Amino acid sequence: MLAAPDIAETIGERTYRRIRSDIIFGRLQPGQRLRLEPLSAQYETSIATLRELLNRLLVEGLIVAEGQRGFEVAPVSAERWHEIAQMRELLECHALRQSIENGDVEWEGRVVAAHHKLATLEKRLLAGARDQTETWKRYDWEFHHALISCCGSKALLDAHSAIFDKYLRYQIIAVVFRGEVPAREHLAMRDAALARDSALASDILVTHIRDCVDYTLKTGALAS
Amino acid sequence: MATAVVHLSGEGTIGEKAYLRIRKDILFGRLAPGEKLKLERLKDDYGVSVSTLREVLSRLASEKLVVAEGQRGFEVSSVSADDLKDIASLRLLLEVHAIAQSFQSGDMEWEARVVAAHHKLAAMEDRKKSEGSPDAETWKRYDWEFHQALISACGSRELMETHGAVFDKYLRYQVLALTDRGDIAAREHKQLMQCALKRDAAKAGEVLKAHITGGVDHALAVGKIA
Repeated sequence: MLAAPDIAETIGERTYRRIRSDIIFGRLQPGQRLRLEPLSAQYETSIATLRELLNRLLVEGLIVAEGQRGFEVAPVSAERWHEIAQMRELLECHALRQSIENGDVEWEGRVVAAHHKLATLEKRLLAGARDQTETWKRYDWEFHHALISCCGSKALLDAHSAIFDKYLRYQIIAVVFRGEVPAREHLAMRDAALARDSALASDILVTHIRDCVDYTLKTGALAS
Repeated sequence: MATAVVHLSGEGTIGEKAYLRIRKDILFGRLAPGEKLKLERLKDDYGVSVSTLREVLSRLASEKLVVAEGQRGFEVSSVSADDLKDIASLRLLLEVHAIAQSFQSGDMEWEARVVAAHHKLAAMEDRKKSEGSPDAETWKRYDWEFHQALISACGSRELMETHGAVFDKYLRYQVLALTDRGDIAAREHKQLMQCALKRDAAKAGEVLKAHITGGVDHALAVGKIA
């Protein structure tokens, strides 16, 4: 998850977050071999710590084991991209409906605040700014997460976070900024949530996700 | 990536084998909820080095089957009624969706897998009735294999893997409560198989909902989970 890091985290934890974020943002590329020696120098950590955190990334499906020999960053494919998008749709629509049903005024406040940050950044991107991908994507995550944050299930939120980050990795590969349309959809989702119209909110979400997948595939950054 | 462990063979590296053994021992309650996992003792029990053990435990922590206790060590994740209900709802959401996809795309090979898996599970359920308590691992493996066969034509590895991971957490609770609803669960399994052959996903969803809700109520009624 891209949430702000915990101050008290250990060195291992910090390195884990760095490597994880490097995979999601494509600085470690799909299919890239992860050799322990250079990696331990690059991230200034011991081989033992590195092996521990690679095992965590393995469970998350962000890297894959190459038999006895080591690890590599999980490859990407158009097929997998569809699977991930459908999974996000399933989890997020369900969580959204629950959350809209349960959400209190505190929740409304979180949604409005998260939307404000995202919308501000979207305006900057529309004006041509191109150097704020990570902040933009964090705000995007924070907004979607705020919308579902009252779904009442920790297991569901955890599963959603995991799939959202996989989804994000694919978006980054295609460096997608689709302009005004998704910004309008974010606004419409915010309003539907505040109006407690869960059917409308989830309809918009479905369009939001499907159009993004189609757009990404059209850029040709992913082999079919 | 997590797949239901009961389904995995013990192939692979030493670390992989230790991972699968420890994971299974957690799921089947031989390592109890809340139990402290002392590296020195585990190292002897599983015959692996401390560094391999730390890798295995990191992986299990990532799956939330163990929790890291600060810098100091690990313990088996605790259980609670709320967590069980949470996991059960997530299982239901994923499995109902996967069933709908699978019933739509499944071919004759898929039907055969469902029928075969049901046959094995039903045979085990019969034997359980006549001979009393069965080998929990084999019984639960057949249960997993049947549910997995039902969704196996859903066409999404992502969905199958997430479902597998959630199923295993659900399994841990079932084993813990030693829950056995006998004839009721057996009847529901049979209905699920019939729905599959008739491609009636809507009915299957209803049966599955009753199956899981009933399983949760039964597990909680035993009183071992607070």
